[in-house]
Amino acid sequence: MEELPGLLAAHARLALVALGAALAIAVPAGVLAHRRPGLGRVLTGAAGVVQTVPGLALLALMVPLLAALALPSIGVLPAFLGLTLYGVLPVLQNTAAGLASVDDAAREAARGVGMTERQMLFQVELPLALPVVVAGVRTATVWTVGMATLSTPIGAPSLGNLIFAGLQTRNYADVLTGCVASAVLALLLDGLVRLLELGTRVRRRGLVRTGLAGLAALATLAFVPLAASSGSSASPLRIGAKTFTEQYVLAEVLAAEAEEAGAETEVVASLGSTVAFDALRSGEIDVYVDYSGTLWATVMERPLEGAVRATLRAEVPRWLEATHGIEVLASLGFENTYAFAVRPETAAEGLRSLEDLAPRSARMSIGGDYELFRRAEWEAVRAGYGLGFRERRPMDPALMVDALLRGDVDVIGAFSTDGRLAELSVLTDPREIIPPYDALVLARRGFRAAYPEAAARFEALEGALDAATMRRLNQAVDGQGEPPREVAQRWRSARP
Amino acid sequence: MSAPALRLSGLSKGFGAQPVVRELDLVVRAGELVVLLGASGSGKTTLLKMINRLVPPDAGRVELAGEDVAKLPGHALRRRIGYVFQRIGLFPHLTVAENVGVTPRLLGWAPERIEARVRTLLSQVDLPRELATRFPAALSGGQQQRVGVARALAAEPELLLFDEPFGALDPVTRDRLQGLVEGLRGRFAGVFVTHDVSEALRLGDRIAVLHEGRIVQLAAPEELVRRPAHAQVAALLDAPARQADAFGRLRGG
Repeated sequence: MEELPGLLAAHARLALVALGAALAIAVPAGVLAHRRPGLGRVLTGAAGVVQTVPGLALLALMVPLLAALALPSIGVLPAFLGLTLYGVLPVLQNTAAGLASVDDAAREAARGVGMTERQMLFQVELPLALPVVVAGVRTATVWTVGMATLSTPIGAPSLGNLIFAGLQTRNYADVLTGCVASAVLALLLDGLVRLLELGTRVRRRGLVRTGLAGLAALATLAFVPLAASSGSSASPLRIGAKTFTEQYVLAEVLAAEAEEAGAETEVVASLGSTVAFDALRSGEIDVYVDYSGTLWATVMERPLEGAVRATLRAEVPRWLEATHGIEVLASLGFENTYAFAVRPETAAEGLRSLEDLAPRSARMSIGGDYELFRRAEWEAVRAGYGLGFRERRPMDPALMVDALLRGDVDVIGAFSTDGRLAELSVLTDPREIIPPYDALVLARRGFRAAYPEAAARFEALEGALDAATMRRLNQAVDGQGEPPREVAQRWRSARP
Repeated sequence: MSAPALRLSGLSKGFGAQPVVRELDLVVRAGELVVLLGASGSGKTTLLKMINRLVPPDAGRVELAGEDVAKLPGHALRRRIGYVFQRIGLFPHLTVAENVGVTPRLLGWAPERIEARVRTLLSQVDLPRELATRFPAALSGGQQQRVGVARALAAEPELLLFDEPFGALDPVTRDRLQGLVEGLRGRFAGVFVTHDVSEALRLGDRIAVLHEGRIVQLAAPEELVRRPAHAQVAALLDAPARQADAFGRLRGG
């Protein structure tokens, strides 16, 4: 919870800047849309199309877009762009509608008393349209603050960090804190905007001043920590983590090692699976942990036949180095493979392996993480064992075990290092279709030269974690609700 | 001899193939109010709006105190000409005082000068001083158009244009506002558009009767009534004459 002030500030910063940019674009665009109805239809149409893209997808789409333009593709920039685009429509629409609602008699009078077109816009049309414009601004405010929580998976810190990490580590207090803080921020900003509009309309200087002072105070709280911290170090060593418990723990292990080597660190948590690799490739993050089978199947797009441990151990590092200059610093010593698991009572009916599953799968439903059913591994397992389930349910990995135990699904595609796997029965893979998933510490091109001591410490992690240990650490977070950082530190201090 | 307040020469306007005002000439002398009288569609409002270029003329020339205004930007021209609108057109987000002071403010007058001018004008149009801080929505229609007249007078214009300003008011209010204009007579040069013959006869120093985009007679009220020079003039005068006869019979009987 000690990160709350920092995350709140980052969240407010992101929302304020994006809202400011959205207003700067949308109000002039709304004026233009009113003046030229043909162009207005195009602008409103374009903004409307943006609006139909789900928020998370819009933010995620900014990543490849920026990468294609050779711009920083993860972090604050894509989040800022996505949020800005999202905020444009309500303000644009309401500005145009507000201007259209202005009585023509007022316009004729404005010309008749000798106003220029510009004076008419600023002294008559916009003031009369103000209540409608502000309604749009308030909609955009609430949307932007809420949607800023979704910028976590693309690497921009926000209150979403508490929500995403809290969901993964079953820390519902964190989830609630993130939601409440975001809601309070939205209501506060909305209230300030309302106060400003009311003060302007009824001409109460006091109200306007209070509103402006509130905005200024909020901006100060949001931006001051940035100014204070920017003095210390140019850029910290950035450690990526995907969206599940083990990744949070491993990122904290790497962060602690790097700090001991004298580096300042920053954990960029809750990155989408391929976002993490893209971020490493483009140098947005310095290190993260990925799994050999995932790299083989998803990044290298190689066939799964013949994907045995020896091949992967030789091929994956060679390919990463040759193609992207990425170095494998260590193989941590455990693998996190797909483990298809059932309830113990289902196993007791004679279900031991994926082969046993084939004749019964038509009556069963299977749950998996978001990407499982799109991955080559799933296709290989399904075809190899002749599986055909009644229903597939992609869901958040944190919820899978509960869903299985409750009977919502009959089989789950879990991860072999999941701490809670002990409560379940894992089906064997007699045909060895599932490839090995050794956990590898990957470093970006040029990392060793930039951080030689940290690189040496990471290399010393070779073989340091076995599967049983990793499961125990995951269980400490998932089961006992301990913070990943504490779990990582306890493991390190217990090491010989 | 000094130049007239307004001289129009060869002024023409058509919408599409339809001519609305045809090569029209008119002179308004200093301190004179000329009424443009005509039926709907006679071109009188279009003619009025060409004077301050709310409608750009197709051809012809507008001279203000001897100066050809074609080269002036429209907004600069309109700051020299007061305009009283048919739809009143007060700015709903501005107070009465701000509405009256709008053109002086655009001209960059000092705030104290505007304030003093607004005070004078409000008393000239018979509005109580405490209305100055009210918004237009709090005023009656008659009070609103009094503010409209004050606004038109505010920047000490060289010319006043009235675009059927009292047409939408009830007869009693209309009579009072006509009285207001009558009282200001001689202090300004102006053009007043109406289709109401009795209003024209009451307010005009001279009356220009418009028909199909041309002036068919331009004369003082007595002259117009005694010697109508065109069938359209006779037709326009006919209706109020019959009303007056009917009214006289009722009173006499």
